Order: sequence, then C-alpha cells, then structure tokens
Amino acid sequence: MIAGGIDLGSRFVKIVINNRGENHYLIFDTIEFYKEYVKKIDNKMAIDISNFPFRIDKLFATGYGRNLLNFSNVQVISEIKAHYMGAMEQTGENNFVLVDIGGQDSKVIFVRDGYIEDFVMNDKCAASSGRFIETVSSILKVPIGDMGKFVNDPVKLSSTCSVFAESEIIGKIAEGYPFEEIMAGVNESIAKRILPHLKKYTKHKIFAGGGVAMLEGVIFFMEKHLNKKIQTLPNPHFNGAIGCMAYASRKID
Amino acid sequence: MKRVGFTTTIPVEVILSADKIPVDLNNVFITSESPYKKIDFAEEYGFPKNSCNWIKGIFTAVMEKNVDEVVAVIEGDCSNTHALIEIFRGEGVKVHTFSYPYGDLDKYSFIKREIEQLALSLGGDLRKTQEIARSLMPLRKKLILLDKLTVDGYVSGFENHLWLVSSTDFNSDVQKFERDLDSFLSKAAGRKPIKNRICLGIIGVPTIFTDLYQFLDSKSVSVVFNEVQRQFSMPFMGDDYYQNFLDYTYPYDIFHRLRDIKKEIEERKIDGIIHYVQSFCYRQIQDVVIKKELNIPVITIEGNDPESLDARTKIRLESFIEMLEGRKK
Repeated sequence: MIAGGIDLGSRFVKIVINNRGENHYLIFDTIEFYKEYVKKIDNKMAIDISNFPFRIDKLFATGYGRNLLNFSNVQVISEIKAHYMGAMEQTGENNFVLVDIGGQDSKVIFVRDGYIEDFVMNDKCAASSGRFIETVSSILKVPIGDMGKFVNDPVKLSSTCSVFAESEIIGKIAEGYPFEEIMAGVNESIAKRILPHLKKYTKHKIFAGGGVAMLEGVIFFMEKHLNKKIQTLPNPHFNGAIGCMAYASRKID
Repeated sequence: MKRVGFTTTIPVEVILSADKIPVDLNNVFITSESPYKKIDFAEEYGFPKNSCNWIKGIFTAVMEKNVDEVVAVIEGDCSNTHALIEIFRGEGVKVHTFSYPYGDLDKYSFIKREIEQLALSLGGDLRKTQEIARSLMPLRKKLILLDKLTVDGYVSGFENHLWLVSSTDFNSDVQKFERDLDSFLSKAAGRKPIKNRICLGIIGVPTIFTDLYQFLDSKSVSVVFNEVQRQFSMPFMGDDYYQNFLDYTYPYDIFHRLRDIKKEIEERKIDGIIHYVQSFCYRQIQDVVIKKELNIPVITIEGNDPESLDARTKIRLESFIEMLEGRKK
C-alpha cells in the first residue's frame, strides 16, 4: 500500500508519497494542476486522481481545494491538523510552536504533549504571506529566491495592506531608496505582522514552515524581534503534505 | 399607529406605552429581501465603504420610510450612531436620543432619568410602561424556556438566535409573536433532543453572515449560547423596571459582559467560544480582553457583508472544531 499526502495550497499543490518508507516529493503550480486534473465526474467538479502519473492507495488531503477530492479513498483534514502533524513528523518533537507562512495566509499553532492546544490563523489578509513576496518580487524584478537575502537597513513600510504596500514600495523607489533596503523592509514587514501571534510563546521551541520560511530574511527579522532562535523545518514547503501523508500511512498501519 | 424605529435595544415598553409600534431597524435591514441593496443605497448616498454595514442598513431602512420616527442610542452602543442621527436630522427625520450610563457613578438615577425623558419625548406614560413590563413577563419567561430548550438540545442554535434577536421589538406585534412562540415551543418540546459532543457559545453582536449556524450544524456541533441575543431578550427582567436596564450587559463595558459570559460558559458546559466581530467595529479591540479573560478556546471571526461564510473563515472554524474535538479526547 502506498500512502500519500496532498496539500492543495493557494499557489502550489504539494504531494508527498511514501513508498516502502521512502518519501517522494512533487510540486505543481496550483492553476496548472487544476487545469490538468480537475474534471467533471458524475456531474460534479472533482480532482481525478486516477490520472495521476503515480499510484496512491490511501490519500489524505488539505488546503483550499481539499473538498474537490471527493473520493472514497481520500480523507480530508484541516490545514491546522496537517501542519501540526507535519511538524511532529519532521522534528519528532511534541511540545513546540509552529509558525507557518503560506501563499495566502499564515498560522501559528501551539502544540503541547502532542495535541493542538491553540492556534491563530490570520483573517482576510494576504499581507503577511507569500503572495505579498511574489508581488514585490515582480515589481522589483528580483527572483523570489533572492528576496530573502536582504536584511540590512530595512526601509520602514507602514501600510497595513499588501495592495497599499505596493504603492508605498513604488514610492520608496521613486524617493531613491536602494532596492536592497526595500527588500529588507519587505522581509521585516512580513516578520512583524506575525510577531503579535508569536510573542506569547517565546518560552517554547519555535519551528517555521510554509514556503516563506525558506526566505532567511523573514526568519532573521522574526528572530531579531523575538530575541529567540527559530528553526526552519527540514522541508518547510511540504510540511502540510507530509502531515497528510503521516495520517495516511498511520491509517494503513 | 406610528412606527418607532430604534438603532439598538431600548426599553421597548416605553414605545408601547405611547401606543406606537416598536421596530428594530437592524431587523428591518437584515431580514429584508436584499440587504445588499440597502448597503449600496447608503454607499451611493456617501457612506464610506470602510464603515459598518449595519449602520448603512439602518440608514436605508429609515430612508425607505419603514418608520415614522427614530430612537437613537448614543451611549452604550456604537459611536457611528452620532453621525447617523446628524444625517437623519439633516433629512428631516424625527430623532429621539437615549443613553445608557457610562461608568459606575449614579447609574440608577441616570437610567431612570433617561427612561423618563424617552417617555416624555415619545408621548409615553411611565405607569403604563411598568404595567406593560409586568404583562410581558410571562412572554419573557417563555423566551427563557426557549433558551433552556436550546441547551437541552430541543431547539437549534439558529432558532435560538432568531427568536431571541426578534425579541427586541417582538417583530412589531407582541400578540402575534407570543402566539407563534407558543406554537413553536410546543413543537420543539416534542422533538427528539440532539446531543452533539461539542457545544459552542457565540458572543458579540449578532452575525451578519447568512449561514454561520447552518455551517456549524453541518459540522455536528451545537450552539448552546447566543450571548447578545439572549441579553436582548432581557431574561433577568424583575420588578424594578429601571434596574433591569442596569443588569442588561450589552451596552456596558466588557467586564460586565464577561461576568455573564463566564457564568453561562460554566452552566452550559461550553467547550469553545466563537467571538463574532463586525468589520470596522470598536468591539474588535475588546477581543484582547476576551481572550485573556476566558479560560476556554476562543476563535474570532469577522464579517462585513450579508453573505455566506468565506472559504478562509470556514477553514478556521473547521480547524477550531477539530482542535476542540482533539482536546475532548
């Protein structure tokens, strides 16, 4: 039996397959994925896993598109549950705080003795998410992977909304601020939006997951303002999918 | 008979004593066929997009001539009401004002004076007001019974919300309201009670979302406490008419409300609290105190438009329910 986990995120679809103890990772652009795999089945829109280029016997799913997976061998779980399990699976710890910064939202999950004790998930705002980084990267014409490198002399960005922040960034360029300082400012502004949710947990071990956790600049500013070390998960982007896969393999066991 | 609209719960018996019809303007807005059109009308008139949609709905409800005069609560509810009555007065609408006391000093004589002045302004009568209050007592007791039946699983959280929120003006017809309530209660008492494992309480102003209760129902959780709606029904109504409006928690500070909330959490064995906040409302800030003071999990959800729950709020609520289930294990 092959267990799989799928995280249907707002920007990317991440899949982890566990075949005889070995994990395989696949990533798709969300829109491309939906174009390829979402079909009308029995008059309902659904993701057709029979078309997948690999076999999965038991699949757990999370993310925005999770309810499109309406099959008998697919079980749907919430993102909080998926990410919490992913972090336990990746770290072997069961007392920690996980900060997850995804494409369209961010969440902080407090885990005590292996159970979710509390969580905060941001409401209707993408300003502290990967979507914001992507927008800035396209305005500044800097590859996303390079965005996280800048931490010196951050420009202060005060807009509370990522759409307003775009205009603010263009204003800063016009005022003559170096791109490096603007990018450092973007990293700091993302970190600062998450801080209020993390502040009460500084006594605990903190892990970071989600695509944005791969940007060292964001982690740098979180650590700086919390005065606390944050460990990025070994595979931050796939954390939700790993959590799903862990549930799926446990069901099989 | 003249129809008197009000912006939030007031001593409704005063309106009845003046032989006028009470109309809760919030209910006119939200139960109208298309609440959206009311919001659009107000925005076209010039109300900022980033301001409370209830205020816009109330504005349009009055402009559409649903009422002949308005009682506006200017202390104890929403400060936007100040600007709202300025607009009403500019439009020639007759406005009476009513205030709940702020702070602890001399509250009783303050509320007594306010009620007296309201009666004077509306053409009501204080003795008659008190008689009406006494005559409404059996009806209020039936609402208490309805609330109890909710905890026991005979009445759904949504039905509880609907009945209690309508008790601010008794749907503008006390007799019909009571008849309908009687028939509902006898029907509900004959049902098989539903016992879900997770019991939730909803605190904060009544939600503008159209399907929150239905969504929670689909997740097999029970809503056994609607904080503000229950307050609207004045379940503590006693012989001292003025004191009732001091016992009422909604228009007062968060600590007054929290005493009531904590008591009900305990009595109703509530597992988690949904704190509903309206976009652009000052009550969002009180969330900080609520989370600090309550020792059970609290999730805060924010609504703006009269529409169904958005995907993000659904994910958050699902995760919250999962967490509560996990804790219960």
